[in-house]
Amino acid sequence: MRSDAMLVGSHRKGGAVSRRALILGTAAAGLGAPALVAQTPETLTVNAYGGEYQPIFEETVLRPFEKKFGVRVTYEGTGTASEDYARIRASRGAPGFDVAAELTPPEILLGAREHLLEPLTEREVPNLRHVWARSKTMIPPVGIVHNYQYTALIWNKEKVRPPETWRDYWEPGQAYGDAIRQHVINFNPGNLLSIYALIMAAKLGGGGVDNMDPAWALLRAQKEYVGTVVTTSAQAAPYFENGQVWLAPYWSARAIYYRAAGYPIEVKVPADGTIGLAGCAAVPVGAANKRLAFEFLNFRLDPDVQRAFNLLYRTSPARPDITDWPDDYKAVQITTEAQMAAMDFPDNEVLASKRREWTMRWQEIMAG
Amino acid sequence: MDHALAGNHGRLIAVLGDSRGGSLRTWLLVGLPTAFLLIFFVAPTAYLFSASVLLSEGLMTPGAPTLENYHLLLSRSLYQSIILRSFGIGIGVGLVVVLLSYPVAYFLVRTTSRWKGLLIAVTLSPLLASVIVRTYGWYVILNQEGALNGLLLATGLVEQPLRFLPSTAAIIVGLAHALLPYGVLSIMSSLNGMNPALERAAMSLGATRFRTFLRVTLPLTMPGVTGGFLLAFSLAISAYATPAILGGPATETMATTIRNFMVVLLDWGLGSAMGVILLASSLLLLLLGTLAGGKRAAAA
Amino acid sequence: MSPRRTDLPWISLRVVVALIFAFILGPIIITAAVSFNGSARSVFPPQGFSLGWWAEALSWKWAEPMLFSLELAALVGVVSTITGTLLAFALVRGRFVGKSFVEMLLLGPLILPTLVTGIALLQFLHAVGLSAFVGFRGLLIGHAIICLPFSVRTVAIALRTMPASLEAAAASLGASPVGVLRRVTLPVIAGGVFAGMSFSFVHSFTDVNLSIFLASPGDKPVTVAILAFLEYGFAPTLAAVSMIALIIPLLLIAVVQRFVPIGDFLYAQERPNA
Repeated sequence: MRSDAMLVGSHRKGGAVSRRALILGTAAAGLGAPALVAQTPETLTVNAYGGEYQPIFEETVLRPFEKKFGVRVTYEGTGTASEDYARIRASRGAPGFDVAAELTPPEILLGAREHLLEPLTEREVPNLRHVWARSKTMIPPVGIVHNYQYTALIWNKEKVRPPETWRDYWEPGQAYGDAIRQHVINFNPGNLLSIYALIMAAKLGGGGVDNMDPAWALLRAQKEYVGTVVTTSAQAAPYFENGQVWLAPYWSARAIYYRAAGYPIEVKVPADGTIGLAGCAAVPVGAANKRLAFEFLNFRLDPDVQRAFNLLYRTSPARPDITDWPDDYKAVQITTEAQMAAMDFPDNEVLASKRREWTMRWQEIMAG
Repeated sequence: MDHALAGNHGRLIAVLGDSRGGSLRTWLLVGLPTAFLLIFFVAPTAYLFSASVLLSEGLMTPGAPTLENYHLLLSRSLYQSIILRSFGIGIGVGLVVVLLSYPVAYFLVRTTSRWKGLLIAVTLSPLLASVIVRTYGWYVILNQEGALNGLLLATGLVEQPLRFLPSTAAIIVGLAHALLPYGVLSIMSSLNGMNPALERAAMSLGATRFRTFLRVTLPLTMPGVTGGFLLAFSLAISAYATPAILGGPATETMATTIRNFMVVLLDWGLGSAMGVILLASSLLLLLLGTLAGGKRAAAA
Repeated sequence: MSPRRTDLPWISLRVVVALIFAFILGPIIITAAVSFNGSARSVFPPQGFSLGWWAEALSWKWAEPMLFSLELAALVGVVSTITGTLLAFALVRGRFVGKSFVEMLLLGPLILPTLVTGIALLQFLHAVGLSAFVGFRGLLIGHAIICLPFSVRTVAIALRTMPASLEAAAASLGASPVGVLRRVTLPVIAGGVFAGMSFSFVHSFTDVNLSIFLASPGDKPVTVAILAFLEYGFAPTLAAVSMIALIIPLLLIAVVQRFVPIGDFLYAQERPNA
């Protein structure tokens, strides 16, 4: 392949930057950094959520912690719980943050099995003696439970009447007729919401974590009413807002938050009960500042901090001995022993072992 | 074409790369970048993929190496369709990109408009379109109450709004949009190297524009076209964000499945097995494609 | 005799190209519209008008990762282009054992989801004791890896399409090998080199899946910052940030084009024959 061609005029490559200078400069900056750190106050790096969560967390937990202990906290708002754990695993426990402040029980379980999370007892975190009795058995002792939520049912109050039980969600055609077609949402099992909703479906059919067949049957039947499938809770929010999804399982905290923000939704606990979610936190084994990390976890369980954070974020507290909650808070949160007893928490070990198979079953049904 | 290796010309070849097997300069040119790739790409990937022969219990090493992960992924129809779909998307995107980018590339190279720089900038813009643009931009256009349906309803082409999302077609559209600039720049790059006088010559000999294009321009710019296709195909295969956003549970690809395994289910055994399958099958397909293309070029 | 620009094929070409440009700009214009939305709700057509989201997008909270991304991408572009050009010369002009192996090696980072490359590199750096690299240096390495195939590819295409007789002609006219390189080869393949640099810059600037794993609290690209916010919710601020993330690199490329004018790259037809 050839042709005659014209000569073109010469040109200059723009910007004569010396690559060597840049690399040397970068190396110098990298090497220089440790010297700076030694002169500044003690630091702690905390990883949690971003978005709306961040300012709440900073105001009610981070800044008070900085003030009380005279330290500086670097906040990292990236990653879902499982993404954070992927980083913990890839880095063999030294992911660059000292506290993984928002994990869920599956990650804590993995952390225990893989020895990537620090053991946490009343010695490291004294406030553990004040938490719900249930918190101590829910997860292996390499994490703490710092708040609770539950799987609520939410509905568009302008479009449909309130659902009564989980059956209204799983058999929407029977409850609402054809009008609700395409307006139901289903979550990918990557989200615990999906798993919990499926477990409730199994219970409707007389099954449970040990027998999920009723759930698959209900899912197959529900499919024709489902108009939206998303993975993360955040992805679902716009659909609630613009009225495209009328019925959904959703985390209580975010549901209440969005209701307060003006979304046309209402929130309730279904009459046939629901499954709770334990919000966990842990310290990776390779954390740079473990002592301060333990203090942080302990601080988070302090009554004042618990009160401030949970009121703003709309989650339920980690300890039963806080009594001066406002009435409207108490109406939708887990604050009494009775409520805690009524909440179902599945065996996380069983969940961990079955989750992969359940995910594949879900995918096969939804894809086919 | 081999040149006679004499005099100044011989020295020229020596500077640019020896045509005798492996001079020191060639080895240096190749060796350093290759070493970089080997150390920081091949070694890490191989290490990660070594998990594919272990049943995933996280970092604990349970029993002996086993091919059970591969067996699961290759025998279950769910994953077979995921693999096929990924290649379908890759090829579809490659074709759409090449088809759309050639006119644009040709126009940009041949136009004398003083807005050329701006138009090139416009062409590059999808490269910089972040996940936000793809989420809300395409969602707004393609959803049932969206702009496209509005247009179709208004012009009377359809009576009911169509469901574009989620679908494989939407994924192909979204990916083609994002990868179009690669096709354009690739084809522009080779159009640059072609002497426009050749086109003029052909037309002055009586050929129509179209025939000139088919017989002269296109063959000469084939490296750009195939380069663009291969690039679009490869990037479409590995794309995660667009299939995740514009697709749904019925349109999973290998990339979305790998991410699901690695970062959501935290099953690195299955995740790396799928990664190996993706890598091996894509390389095989590309190899076959290049061989087939090479055969045709040799025959021409 | 040059073809007339008012003939039918050229006009139909312009129409087709205009449609394709509409396709290109569609989602981008919509995102831009959302960024001016009066309310925090992400509806379209936008309700009301507000510049508040842009104000927030220009605050330090977003400017810091934006500047970091630009700096990183620029460095990656330079590294990748220089390395890629060297490699392209060797692959196109040289003949050596293992050439197809190297070519296949270059396909790897393109085909493999950057997510996998990111996890693999993170794990590897920790395993070999280079965990301090996580952050800027790790990102530089990771981005260079995924950008290298681009620069090699575009320079190789330019080299292949360039007729070899050009250099032979210059050499036979008495130019030294280095002179030929400087005054003939490099200008001719400049389009490919520039394209490769643009690709590398853009690919680095927009990468998110690899960056998640190699970023550190102080070294965070803007894409990771966007994702962090997006994982939790959406606000029109994100649309504004996306528009900024789109406009600035384009402006940069436009500025570079002042020094290396597009016209010279694109074989303007006004250029006289040799």
